[in-house]
Amino acid sequence: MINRNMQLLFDGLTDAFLIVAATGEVSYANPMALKALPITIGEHLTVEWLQSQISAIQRGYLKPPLTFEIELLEKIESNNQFKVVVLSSPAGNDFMVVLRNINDESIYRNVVNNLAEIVHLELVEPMNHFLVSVKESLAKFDKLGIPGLGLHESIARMSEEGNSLAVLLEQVATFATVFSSTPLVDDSRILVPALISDVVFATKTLLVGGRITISLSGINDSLPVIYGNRRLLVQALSGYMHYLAERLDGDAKFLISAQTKGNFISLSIANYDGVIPASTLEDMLPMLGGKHPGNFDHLGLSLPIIKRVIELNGGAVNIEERGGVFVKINIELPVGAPSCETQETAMAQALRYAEDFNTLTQRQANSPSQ
Amino acid sequence: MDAPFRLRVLVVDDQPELRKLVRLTLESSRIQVLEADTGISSLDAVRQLKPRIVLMDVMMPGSMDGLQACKMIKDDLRLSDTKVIIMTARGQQVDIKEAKAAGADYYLRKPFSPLELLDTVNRLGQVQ
Repeated sequence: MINRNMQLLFDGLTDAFLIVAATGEVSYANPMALKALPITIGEHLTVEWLQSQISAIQRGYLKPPLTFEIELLEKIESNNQFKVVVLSSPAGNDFMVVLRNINDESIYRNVVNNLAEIVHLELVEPMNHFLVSVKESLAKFDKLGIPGLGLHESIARMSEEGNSLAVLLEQVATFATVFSSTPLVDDSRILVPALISDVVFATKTLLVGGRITISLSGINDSLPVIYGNRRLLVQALSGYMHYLAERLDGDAKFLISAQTKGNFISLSIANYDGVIPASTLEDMLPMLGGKHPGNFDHLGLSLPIIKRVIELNGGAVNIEERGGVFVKINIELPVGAPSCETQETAMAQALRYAEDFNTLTQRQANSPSQ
Repeated sequence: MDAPFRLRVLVVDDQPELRKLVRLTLESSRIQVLEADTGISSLDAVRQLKPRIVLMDVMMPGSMDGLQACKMIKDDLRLSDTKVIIMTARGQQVDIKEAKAAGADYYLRKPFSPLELLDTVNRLGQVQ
């Protein structure tokens, strides 16, 4: 029989948790387990895939803890990819089963992996074939010596545009591949001054070359800690500075500032000198959610991906223009830790308690004066 | 009549389930358990109620996480007797180093055993 306090704890978890007796009876199931599986407390377990695993453990074919993934189709309409852990109960011959929904995690992992693959197969390779064809056509024209008509120039221009597009696509594929091994939604503890230090370091080629100067404002140890993907944030902020420095008419003077706004921290990079060509601004605004239309050819896709990652971390990105000569990127991130980890920790903690609870109770009973 | 509490502990965690488990473990050993759910609210509780030990989670939503709250407690000379035990699911060397830098007296890695929790609290709770 499960301890009443332990039951209260398990009842509150979003992971599914059930206890199966050695006889095959479901002796306890929390609300999530009852929602996910066709089971009834007090009745025999009739979930075939789970029965077979438990039976294999009982016969000694498998050794707990047993971990596997499964797609549940019975009772849940969506988000049905689960990681299952089967454990032996520390007391008696019961089995404890934990099911965690990993659908969202799988989606993001697959999105990045698939993006890399699709971009390469569907775009980069055909584009390379296209470029080869264009070059061959140009060579034929040269060989035939057909002058005039502007045809040669048109094809050459087409080849040049195709070339830059192919480079861009390669960059996107590389980006997606590099980040496929790291979680898009991360919970690294980030001290803002250390983050900014990394960003400045990442722009060292621009600094050394005298292309930019950087001033800091409000960057100090009293700022709240943020949790997220440090590598991506450094990429976002320094990438933006590189992007802008390459396009400014004149040297760039950047001001990086940070301030707390309620439960968010606002990081901004403002350029306060140098004129930004209107065409650059036109390109950037739609990519970052601005109102202006424009084409995307020159920007690359990294900023939209980073924007999405920041949004997944509960943050937001926006860009400000003032008459086409001043631009500022703002990244707002929630301060403090994301709450998505708490259920995982709570389940692990509850199981750890279940293991030692009887010993603790006995010890407390034997030492009343402690 | 129940025996009086011999020690006062503040548990700071945004998970009510974990606070409940800690309470369950310690109260039956005559340890009074106070609760707070954010770094900021823990500072008020420590200053007003003067617990001997603070059990502090690291990752909490809000403008102050557990390590920042720990540092604030340790930097306050009026709270020099207060011991801080950091509780966290993050157990890498860099995390332990950060906890030490914040002045933590002990580091409990989640999931921790109730026996380990009780032993640690008893040990740190002994008046020097």
